[in-house]
Amino acid sequence: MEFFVQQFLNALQLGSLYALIALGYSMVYGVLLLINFAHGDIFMMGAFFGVFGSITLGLPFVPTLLLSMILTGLLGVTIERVAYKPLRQASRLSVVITALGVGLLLENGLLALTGANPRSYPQDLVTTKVYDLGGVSISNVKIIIIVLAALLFAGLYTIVQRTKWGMAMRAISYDKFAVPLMGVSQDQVISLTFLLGTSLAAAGGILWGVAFPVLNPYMGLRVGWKAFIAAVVGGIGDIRGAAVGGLLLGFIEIFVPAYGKSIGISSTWRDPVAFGLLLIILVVRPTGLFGVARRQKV
Amino acid sequence: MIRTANRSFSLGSLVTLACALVILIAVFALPWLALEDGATATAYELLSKSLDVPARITNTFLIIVPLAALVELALALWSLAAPQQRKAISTLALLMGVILVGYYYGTFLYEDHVNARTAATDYVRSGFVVALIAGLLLIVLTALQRAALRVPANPGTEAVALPLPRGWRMPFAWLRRSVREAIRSLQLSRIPVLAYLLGVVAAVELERREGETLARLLGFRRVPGLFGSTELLEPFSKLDFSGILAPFFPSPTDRFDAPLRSSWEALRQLGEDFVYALTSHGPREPGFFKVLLHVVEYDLLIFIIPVLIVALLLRRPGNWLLLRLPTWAGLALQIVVLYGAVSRWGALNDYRELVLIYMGVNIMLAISLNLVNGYMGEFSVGHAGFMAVGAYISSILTMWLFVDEAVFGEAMLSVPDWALPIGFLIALVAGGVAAALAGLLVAFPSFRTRGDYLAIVTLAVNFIVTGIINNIEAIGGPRGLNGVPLWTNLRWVFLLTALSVFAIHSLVNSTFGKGIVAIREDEIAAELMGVNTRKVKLVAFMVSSFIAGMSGGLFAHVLAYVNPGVFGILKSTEALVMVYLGGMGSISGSVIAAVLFTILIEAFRPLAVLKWVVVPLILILLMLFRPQGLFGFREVSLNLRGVREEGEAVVLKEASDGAAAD
Amino acid sequence: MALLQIKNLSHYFGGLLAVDNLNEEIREGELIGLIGPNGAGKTTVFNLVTGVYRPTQGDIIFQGQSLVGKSPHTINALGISRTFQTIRLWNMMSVLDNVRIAHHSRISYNLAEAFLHLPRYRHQEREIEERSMELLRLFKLERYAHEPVKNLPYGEQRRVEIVRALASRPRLLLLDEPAAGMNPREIGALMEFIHWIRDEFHLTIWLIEHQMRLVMNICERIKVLDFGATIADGTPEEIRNNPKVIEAYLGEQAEVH
Repeated sequence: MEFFVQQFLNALQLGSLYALIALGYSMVYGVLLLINFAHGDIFMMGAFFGVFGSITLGLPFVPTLLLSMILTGLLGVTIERVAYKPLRQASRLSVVITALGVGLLLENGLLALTGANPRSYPQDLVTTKVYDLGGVSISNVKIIIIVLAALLFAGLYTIVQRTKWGMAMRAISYDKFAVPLMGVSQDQVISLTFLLGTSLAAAGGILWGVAFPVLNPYMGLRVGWKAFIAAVVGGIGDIRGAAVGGLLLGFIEIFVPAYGKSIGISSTWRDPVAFGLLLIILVVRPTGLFGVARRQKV
Repeated sequence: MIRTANRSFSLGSLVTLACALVILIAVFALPWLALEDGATATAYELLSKSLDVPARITNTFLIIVPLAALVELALALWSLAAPQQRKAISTLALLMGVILVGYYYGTFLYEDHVNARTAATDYVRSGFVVALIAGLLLIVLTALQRAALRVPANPGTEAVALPLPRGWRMPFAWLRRSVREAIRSLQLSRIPVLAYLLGVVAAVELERREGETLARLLGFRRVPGLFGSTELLEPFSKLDFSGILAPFFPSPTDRFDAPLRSSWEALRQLGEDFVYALTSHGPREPGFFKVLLHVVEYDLLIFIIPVLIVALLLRRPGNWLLLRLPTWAGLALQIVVLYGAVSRWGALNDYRELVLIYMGVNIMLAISLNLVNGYMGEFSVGHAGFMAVGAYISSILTMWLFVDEAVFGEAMLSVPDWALPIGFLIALVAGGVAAALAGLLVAFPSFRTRGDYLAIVTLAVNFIVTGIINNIEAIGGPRGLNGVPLWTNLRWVFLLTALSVFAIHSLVNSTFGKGIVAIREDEIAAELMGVNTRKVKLVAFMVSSFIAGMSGGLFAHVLAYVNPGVFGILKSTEALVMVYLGGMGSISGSVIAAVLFTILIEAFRPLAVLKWVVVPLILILLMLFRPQGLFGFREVSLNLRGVREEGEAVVLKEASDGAAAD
Repeated sequence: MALLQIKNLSHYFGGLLAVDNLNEEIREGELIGLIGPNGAGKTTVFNLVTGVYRPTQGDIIFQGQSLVGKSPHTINALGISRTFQTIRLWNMMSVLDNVRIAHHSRISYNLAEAFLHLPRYRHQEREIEERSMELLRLFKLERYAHEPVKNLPYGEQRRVEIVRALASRPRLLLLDEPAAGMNPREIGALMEFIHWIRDEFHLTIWLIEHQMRLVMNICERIKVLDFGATIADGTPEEIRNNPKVIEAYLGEQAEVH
């Protein structure tokens, strides 16, 4: 039982991190129908801005988080304006490929400009405390990550569901020509989407850096792809789906090795099993858990 | 305004004439170089006497200015001459230029450049500066004229925004026109591919004979490997970018007191290094410009000019022959000649052979991905996964069955040496078949999903394949498989690449294969019109992954070592870059893109990590400015079967046509 | 025996009843019409017959075989071909290729034969190409043969679509609003054209159309649908005078001549 609770918390932690990143994928897809392949690297940039805030500027945790979210958000909006916006009339594929290129550019550019030494946050950014509750040891880091992720998701959900801008975001994915008629600029909605999505990824990046304290320019590659798959499994374009998909991925990744050991599945099998399960989910429900199939008119 | 029909001796011509005269005087009479014994040399002397290699950058530039001046002078006189004499004059000028350049290179190549007496101490400014100013003036005149032309002028009113006198003539217009006319008159597209290929064979033979001498003279340490592309960026290999942002993102071991200042310091250092890399510092440390010049010279002299000469000479015989041969025989002949050219070129050193092998592997990878992404319109982003399957299966088979090594112990079968190639082929095909079976993992989901969701499936398959390999200890897990026999050679790669190209070409041009394109264009209509879309998709995915698997097998047997990390998302991205660079739905585009990409990767090798900054940058710029790629949805038209020649020689168009088109 | 027999056909989209208990019997050589206001379920009937949707209830029998559960390409191979309400050609491909692909169900060579250009492959490809060119010549489209289909004017694209449908040698041709976007003079030509292809290719034709003039003039028998249900069935004369039909069309302002 203790073991289960322990693993449950681990899964929740990892799942929240995936969810935070998956949200950005899902929001951008919902608005632009674009798979923003650069999103994983934006997550990485968020983590690196955290290094800038916490070490170079010597800020404590919360200001570092906010600074990184702001800087990353601005970076996301800039990328959209410079690289994606000129292609809005072009075929969807060219934008996707551009996104792939932007991602590679970010990670390799950063590697070239900063060198290959791994980074990490200072020890006192979040001082780890471990509480012991009836045999279950809980670190404050896990609690912070889970609670913060939940808060951020709740905030985003409120924005998307309750505000005029959120409504415009949802509307644009149905009919991008109607939104300007409602007195909302399409460009502004898209910029806002990128701002929100990328700053959430930045939060994910910082929390990731706190939980798994080795940062390098390629850290976004694997995590990004996985979060992307989580978003798709949830039904890309739907933010609840992204959250559920992220959590699901977290649970698969933690519980498969935790309980698979007895049947010979070691922790290195995590990736193949997780991806295999996701593949099965996609084959059974091709549009993801929350996705709605669009019938093609004949 | 630029009609040549009735040109008068105007102010513009006068200025041009004056410039030309000044340049000529400067070249022939004014001192350019101070010599050790106190004497001076004019530019003419520099050119006509023997030279030492380091002085040649300047001299190559210098030869152009007086030549141009000479022709400008001729042209200024020409504007007074009768129209029927003009063509003769321009031909004469061109001929003189060719003779001069020939003479220049002749002296350079065969005179005793070793005991040159021009141990130059210093350039005397006078002659050089005078010539330079006059030359610049000519260039400015050209630019002015161009700017004037861009003003949208009413054809009736000659007056334009720029106050240029009537009858102003553009300097060097004749040069552009003649070059264009000359290229057109060569009718390059009528030359059969066979003639080009024979030209390449000749060029390669020339390189084997003279390449080394020329390379030494040009200051290369060895014969340039890939047309000089690898030498080109060598001067920049010392640049260090990592200091620029490192102070802002310090690692735990770093100490930066003032991040802004150390970053600025790094930037300044980088700028200095960059400028240093551009310019030359003695023969041992040539700068970028000098290397560029030498590379261009080398390629022109060894490859481009000989290929063109041979191709032009063989145009008629080539067409004649190809028209009389049956199609298959003509194609076979060209493939044999191509193989001859490629293998002779590659035989010069191991590096070239290696690069050719990579090219073949990349071509197979690109065309197989193009079948799915370009022709069928899906978006597969995990192609390297199939390559991994092929690489591992074929490596395991060859290691287990045919060779003694550490992983699987002694060979299972004792096969005589002559039969080993057959074993290798069987292993490669087995790898391809295994990859094709892995392709089913993508093909079955593709029956129900399309587009973005299928993209995820391909991505997941890539991760699953590498993940599984990572977990099988018997084949080395993450450490990889060491001791794969080095059996891939150029012959194998050429054969399999040619077969793959032929197979894909046959497939997409058959009625059955056109069903693949119909799926891209409108899947439902395709199904309703009798296309068994499931079968077609299955075939497309399996053929695609089969070829990718074979390329993986070849790749493994040239690396001698495979590990799952090689076949990750980066490799898949490389394949995507090649496909979209070449253009979707174009086999020739993919082939050309794969060749270019391989060379590009090699050329950027000196820049280390910057290579992966430049590649995505190219991809982004491509998508922004030419989203269809180099040859989107069309093929390069090649003259493979010969064309009928007209009965008479090519008639040059009237020169005035070209001028009007300016 | 009837060529096509539809028995108690019903189809639901979710909870929406799109086709309600349809019965139809089409004999060899007939030219019949299917009309009804927008959203009456006409195209859905065609989609059910050609296998795009699987019917919720009922049976479709073509030449004695049930079509229910068969995939569209099999149904096409059995001899039913169609055109679409909005043109669905393969736009980037040439006119000739569009027609060639419609021969897909006749191909019997395998992949190896295609890769190696073996005789069977060469023979079939030549046959397909010759027949396609012949069809294009018959429809006076041969000068466009190598032109990408998207470059053709609208009317020509419509003709290419019909040629493509004929290329698979159907016995039953379903035309979904062939006159859409045509002016009255063109419609006159189209009527002659439809008659001509029926006689030339010995076809049975079933067509959906909004242009009453066309339907009333060329169809031998007409069925009227409204909200998925059959409200009338009979000769053009009977349909013209049927009060239910006039009522169904009132909102449509159709000209019932």
